[in-house]
Amino acid sequence: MRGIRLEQVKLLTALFGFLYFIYGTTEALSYFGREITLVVPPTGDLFVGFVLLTISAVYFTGLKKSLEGSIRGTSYLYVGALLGMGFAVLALLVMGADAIEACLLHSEDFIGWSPLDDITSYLILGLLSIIAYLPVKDVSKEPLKVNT
Amino acid sequence: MREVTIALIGNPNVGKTTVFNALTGLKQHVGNWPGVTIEKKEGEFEWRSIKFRVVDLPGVYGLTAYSIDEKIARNFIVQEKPRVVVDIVDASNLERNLYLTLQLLEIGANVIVALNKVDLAEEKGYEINVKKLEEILGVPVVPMIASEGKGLKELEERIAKSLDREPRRIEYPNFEAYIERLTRVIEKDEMLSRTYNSRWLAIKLLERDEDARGIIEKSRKRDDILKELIDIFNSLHRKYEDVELALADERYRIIGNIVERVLVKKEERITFTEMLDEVLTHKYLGIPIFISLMWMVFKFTFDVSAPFSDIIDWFFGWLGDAVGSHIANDALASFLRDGIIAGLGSVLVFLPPIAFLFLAFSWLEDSGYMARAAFVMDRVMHRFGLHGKSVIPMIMGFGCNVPAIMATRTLEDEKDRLLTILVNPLMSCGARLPVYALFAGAFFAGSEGTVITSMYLLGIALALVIAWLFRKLLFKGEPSYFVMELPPYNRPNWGAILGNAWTRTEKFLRKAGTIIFAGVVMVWILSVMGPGGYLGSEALENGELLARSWVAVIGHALQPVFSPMGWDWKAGVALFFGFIAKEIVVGTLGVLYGVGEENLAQTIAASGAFTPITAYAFMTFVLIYVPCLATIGVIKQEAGWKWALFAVVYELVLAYAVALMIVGIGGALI
Repeated sequence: MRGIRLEQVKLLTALFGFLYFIYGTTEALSYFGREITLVVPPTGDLFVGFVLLTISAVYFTGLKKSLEGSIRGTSYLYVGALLGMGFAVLALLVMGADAIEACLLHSEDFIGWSPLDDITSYLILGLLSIIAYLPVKDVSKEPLKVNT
Repeated sequence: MREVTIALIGNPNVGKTTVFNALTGLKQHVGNWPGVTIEKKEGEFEWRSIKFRVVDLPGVYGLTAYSIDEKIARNFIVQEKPRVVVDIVDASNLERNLYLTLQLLEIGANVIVALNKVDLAEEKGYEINVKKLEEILGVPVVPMIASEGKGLKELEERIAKSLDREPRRIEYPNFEAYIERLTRVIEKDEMLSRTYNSRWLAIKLLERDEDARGIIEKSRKRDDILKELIDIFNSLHRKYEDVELALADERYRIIGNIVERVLVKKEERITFTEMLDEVLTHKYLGIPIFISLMWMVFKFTFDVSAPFSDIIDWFFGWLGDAVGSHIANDALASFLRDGIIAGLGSVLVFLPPIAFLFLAFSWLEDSGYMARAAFVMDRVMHRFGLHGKSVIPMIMGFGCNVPAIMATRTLEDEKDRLLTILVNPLMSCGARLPVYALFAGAFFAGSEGTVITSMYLLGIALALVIAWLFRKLLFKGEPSYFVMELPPYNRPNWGAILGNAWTRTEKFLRKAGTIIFAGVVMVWILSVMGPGGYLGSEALENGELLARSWVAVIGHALQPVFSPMGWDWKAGVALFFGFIAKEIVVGTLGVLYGVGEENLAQTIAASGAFTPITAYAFMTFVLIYVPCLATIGVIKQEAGWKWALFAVVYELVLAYAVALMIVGIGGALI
């Protein structure tokens, strides 16, 4: 059975909570007209900001629980990582759909489209979330042991 | 051979059926419980010279007789008095399961606890002291793993050896004096105390149980018992606001003590389901996560399905051109090209988003998340006067309002049921998605997912507000609480998910081939015909000609009604025909704009008939106004004509008011 140390949970929830908070805030700000580009430009969609801030809140709740010494913090790390990766899978599916429009259907709206156009903050964060997911990935097969 | 009857009981999903099958093998027969269509399973097994008739009771959490399952189980134990009641307890969920055990002991049943799933408990890091549990409960406890056949022989033996055992009495220290007082008066009626366990009757009377009250009504000591009961209530109400709740708390307090003494956690472990539930059902995070997932579903529905819609659009455009150019007869060519092909094409272009929506919902259902969504939303529902059980029909309403309204039959209280029926059409069904997709694509390019999500959220918000209002005005009173089983999370079973999504999508296809087809053909006929006769196919491309058609007559008659929202007569006609089914709105617009082969969204955007605000108001009107004919029919069937008409009227008024508000406020802001 795999285990995870509470220190690891604290570190990962703090790191990812912070990253999702920064990008969630920039997405929300861009919707209200203040565009800040951090590696990738924001989408300008308020709901993207909402989802990123929600994932951030999940991580931060996990950080709070693990700082209190509760093993339950691990749950938040796991679900935060799942949500982040799910969001990234969605971004990849949208990229695939856009590729069909551009390369197969030659749709007018997709002339000059490049895969880089669909690189979004939530795609990058979702891919990075694999780092948070790996230590807890086996929980669906057997209960996770937490070393406090 | 001696023959005795025993009963199997337990919470749902504790492995009761596995135990029943293992005990009885092939010697089973299935019937119905008297007066209801709930399956009754009976079987047999032999142990030495005793033949056991085993009755499998419905899975229940308690014996409070709130549901039909609880009534069946309770009545069987109370009236048939089985010699032994085998209570199957999930060892990995001991605390929840012991509630039923305590209630069985209250009845005075001769209980044997079959402690099933001990392997799962061990997996969770629990160690249960079986001897101590036996000692505290005062009944035999048999640890077992029914799925592997472990512990079955011991269970059979313990059943046989317990036949003449005296039932164990359970005591509630905070209520004992009152229970004793009432029991003494009940025992004065010998007939009553011979038929029922007096102590159990006393507890039930304290809980204001209606069945127990009914039993007392027939007693010759009725007046004495009721007098004593009133006296006791007077004393108890000085201590407790709600006696029934206080008794439930007392049971949980005792269970808590038992669990503390018998269960040892060897090490800290968290299971997959526990980890997910910790977060997904979190008091504060649960709802934002639900909204986030819903938005992801709509993003997937709209953005990922887009190329498939474009392929269908291209195909019908090509087909319309090909058919139109090969038929010489103008009326027939127009009928096929502009009526059938353009009409069906403009609806079928939304087949991919609908299929993708159902696929996403099926995935969420199969994974076990939808039950959590219901749980998370239950807290909100209750605040707005809806019953907890209303959540399931409300979520089903996202698919189709017809089965959703039929699903309200699970609500026992008539007021709760009517209220859920009336607000259900506000939950945005799949048929409304083509209208949202069309207008979001035309006027909110790039933010379609957000705009469509806002429609669904608006529907939920309106349903809650209207429910709250109706609860205050029409259905006064408090909705009751309910217990819900959260199934374990599953890995996706793609066969089941695809099958489920296909079944639902097929319904849309069938509707497209029948009702929608008939609707768009009717619109085409009314568009190329007018009071002056046949206008020719040019009517669909020539505004002056179309203005002389029947459809224009209807549209112009409706226009004064819709002009405050800034909609033209074509919008009025689309809404008029949308009364039949919401999908016809898009089909009608497709015929009226004569753009089967071109992009309908672009044409509507370029026509100048709508602004983003009036388009949003139009989408809102479609969300709220009269449900389709089938929904009205099912409301009539479930609640009667009065409520069906009421639903039609209130939704029309509400749709009009909200759309007008959007146009008014939007116009003032922009």
